Amino acid sequence: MILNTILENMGFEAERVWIRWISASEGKYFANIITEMVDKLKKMGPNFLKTTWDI
Amino acid sequence: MSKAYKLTVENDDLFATMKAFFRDLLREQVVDVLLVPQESVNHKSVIQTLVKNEEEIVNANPFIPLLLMNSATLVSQLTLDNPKSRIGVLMRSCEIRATIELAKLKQVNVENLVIIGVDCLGTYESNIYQEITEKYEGARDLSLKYLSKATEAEPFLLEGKEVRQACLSCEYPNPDNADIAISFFGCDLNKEIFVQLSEKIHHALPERLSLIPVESVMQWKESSKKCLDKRIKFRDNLFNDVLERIKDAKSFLKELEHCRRCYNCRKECPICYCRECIFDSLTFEHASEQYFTWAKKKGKIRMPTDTLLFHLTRMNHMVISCVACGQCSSACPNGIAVAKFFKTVGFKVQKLFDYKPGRSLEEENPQATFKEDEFPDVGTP
Repeated sequence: MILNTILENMGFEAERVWIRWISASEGKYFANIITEMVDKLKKMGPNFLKTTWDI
Repeated sequence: MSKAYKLTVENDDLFATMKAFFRDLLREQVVDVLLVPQESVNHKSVIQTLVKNEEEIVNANPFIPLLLMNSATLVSQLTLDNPKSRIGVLMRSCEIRATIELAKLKQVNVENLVIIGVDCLGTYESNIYQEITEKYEGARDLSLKYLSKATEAEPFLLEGKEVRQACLSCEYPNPDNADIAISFFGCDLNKEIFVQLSEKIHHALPERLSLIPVESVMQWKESSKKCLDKRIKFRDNLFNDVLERIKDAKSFLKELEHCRRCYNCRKECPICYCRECIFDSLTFEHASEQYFTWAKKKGKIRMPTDTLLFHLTRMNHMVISCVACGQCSSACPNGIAVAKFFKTVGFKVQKLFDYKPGRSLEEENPQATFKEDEFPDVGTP
């Protein structure tokens, strides 16, 4: 929550940071989440922070 | 509930009265040792002094519009190893709140600590103070002029200069949680000031300190409220200004473009107490090949690396306890508005937990406390 508040208010795309409860034995669930995340991220496009050198 | 008293100002001399008051604290053994701001050797500045011998209270000045550091750090140094002596410390509200937060983080031991709080009209940036001080005989004269609107709980703006932004937006002009509160707002400083004693300490104290009980501190309450209302207005404008300026990552990076990684902000912050900050550790001593890889990937990189990460990490680590004292901005050699972002984000983060840093020692630090039923939606989409 603290991290999200910081990111939201300091101009970052907080939607790129995901928090999920996943146990070590929930392999399939983990794989599904990652697939879903990659899809969503691809739709969002490259992160500005990836290319900016001023960081 | 605190009990209210008045301290009569003798011979129209506020500073002589305060000198006697502080000497009484030592002479009457209310405290064994006293940390109190006194004039520097050249009489232009005012700095905390640790006094054992009451004769060494020579030119104590709890009202000076200057705060060269947040004394909570000193209180930590003085109490960390559980001293047996009773330590009295003269502090303003931001210093008291920081001390309470440090106590929760086990960096301050409050067992033998007597907090003497004082109302605060705001302090100047050190360089502005030095300019102003050229026009005055010394710290005393400067203070008396600055206090000349104390009945309205407003600072007299010396040479037309504003006090620090952190002070203009401070929601805590009175020293809540002090054992002994020097409540001078609303008072005629040539006649008398109020002194409020906490339940814990007021037993048998008033006579020893020449305090006379009073029925009401109405003018102190009313002027303090007026002061607070003004500050809240200023604070809200400040929040809007910050959120306007920082719309995206690019605009935040713009704020940090002059950061020289001196870490002054971290050093001055009373809450940043880590013996080895992660940024001084091996974690951030990258191998040279790592730098070259990054440079290759992006074409070029800012050096030193991790500037943005430093500020975000520090924020993540301490903003829950940020008391917005503004020492970070005051210490920044390059004028970065660190205090503004930290206060703004601090306010929002603290609101999430309905937490006010420094409000009460009994209130646990939310970041350091595990609660099973909290934010049930996080992590479960």
